[in-house]
Amino acid sequence: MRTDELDERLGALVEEGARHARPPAAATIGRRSRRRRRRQVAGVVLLGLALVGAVVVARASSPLPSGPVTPTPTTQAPTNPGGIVPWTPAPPRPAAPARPAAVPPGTPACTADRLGATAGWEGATGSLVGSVRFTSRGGAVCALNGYPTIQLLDQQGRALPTRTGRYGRGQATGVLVRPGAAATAPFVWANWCGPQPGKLGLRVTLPGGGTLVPTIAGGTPRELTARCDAPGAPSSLSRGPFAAELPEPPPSPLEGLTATIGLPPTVFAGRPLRYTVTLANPTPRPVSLRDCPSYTEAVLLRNDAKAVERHLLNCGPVGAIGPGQRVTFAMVLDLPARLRPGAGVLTWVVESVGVGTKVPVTVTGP
Amino acid sequence: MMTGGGDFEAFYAATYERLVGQLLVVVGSLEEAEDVVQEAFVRACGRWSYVRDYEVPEAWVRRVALNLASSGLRRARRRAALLVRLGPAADVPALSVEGVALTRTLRRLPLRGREALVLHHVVGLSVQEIAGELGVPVGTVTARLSRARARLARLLAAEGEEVGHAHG
Repeated sequence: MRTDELDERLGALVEEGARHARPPAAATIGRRSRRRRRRQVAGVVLLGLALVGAVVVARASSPLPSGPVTPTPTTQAPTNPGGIVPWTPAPPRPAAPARPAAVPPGTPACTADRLGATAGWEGATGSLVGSVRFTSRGGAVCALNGYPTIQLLDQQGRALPTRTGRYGRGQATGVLVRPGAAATAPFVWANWCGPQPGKLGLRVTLPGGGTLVPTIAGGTPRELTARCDAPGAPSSLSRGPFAAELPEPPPSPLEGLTATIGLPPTVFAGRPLRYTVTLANPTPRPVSLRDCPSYTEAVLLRNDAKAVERHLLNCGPVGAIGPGQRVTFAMVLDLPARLRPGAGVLTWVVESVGVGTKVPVTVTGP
Repeated sequence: MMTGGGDFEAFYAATYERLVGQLLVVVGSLEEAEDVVQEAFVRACGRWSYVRDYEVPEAWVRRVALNLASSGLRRARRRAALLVRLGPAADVPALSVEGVALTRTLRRLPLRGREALVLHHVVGLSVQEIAGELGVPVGTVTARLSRARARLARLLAAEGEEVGHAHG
């Protein structure tokens, strides 16, 4: 393909995307920015789903919806395209904690010549919070134990005078670094009352020996400094112990599924919303539901009213969805009487894999 | 280009759509492109007092959006969170048949390759500038770019043949 042809095709796609973009009002971006800042103030780092999760965990323990209850499922009909798998109020399964690889005995300590390092940070209510990421260089397998020594550098490469400390509870355990398995070490910088240092850099000294100057990740605010909170007190740089960076989970076979929602013609506040979700398998392989996923269901209205629940999918009667087959699950979402009527969407999603869908919904008064 | 003193709203209005178009090439869906660009603007807004003084604030926002597209917020989980967080939305306008086909083909390239294609062929940065913006060696950018171009050409050629056979 000629370069000018590539330019033209990509350019046309970009223009099309730009034409279809629907920017929210700048004020909306400002509100989200202020909310983000408040979350940082509260020390809440996880975004999005975690936030929803906190809401729905509380809701999941609320009383079950009233009204007629779908019969208890029987354990038959593995994949019955005609039938509807009944709903059960099973609570979501807690996510299994991922465990980093153990350090085999005799693993050498990492030295600077075996590692590459990148660093990044962002401002958080006057402090700078960041981390250094260590990766294996040249296929090295080694262990990082304890804490790194981190120094902040000004634009000329001179170390800024800071009092170093540690944070993080418990014992620092060894972390295995090998190709494909990285380690990180966090740091927090506070109370800088000195001169503007220009573009900040870092120097990291490893407990195993040697010094690294990490590459600074793009998007890092390099000219941001910690706020001066106490002019008489020293500036402090606290760092945490090395920690394993957990690998991305392997792709789930569930990712191949598609979901569609079947809604009743009317939806009332104060009554359980009974609807269906059909999972279809367009792939040429069967998709096992043995590791039954949790899902989130939510009615989100434009008037900001919402009802959110999380449950475990009732996979027991299904087993697997064959190639080209579909299975319909009954769903129930409790819509409280206080839910302000209005229009919005019903969202249904398997949170661990992102399979889900949403449909417009209008909730009318009880 | 927006230089120091420009206000956030003007900067946002002038650059949002262009950035969504660029991120569309990288992430392959309008919804996700808008999501990462909006989140990048949210972060820029919180730091506007110094982001505005960058020589090219738009490059900062693009960099953050590209980081979001590739990192941290694990992508599958982000798609799930997105569905919930976006809440009520107007109908998403459909891309043209050609647009959908090209995004589908682009998604078969590694993300780093798509990133290099956008920065070079759409934004117009040189290989050296891309290396500086991404913080990787020039050779890495060159390799990503040439691999992405070669693979894209193969994929598009194969699709052309399929279409030819289908019509023939």
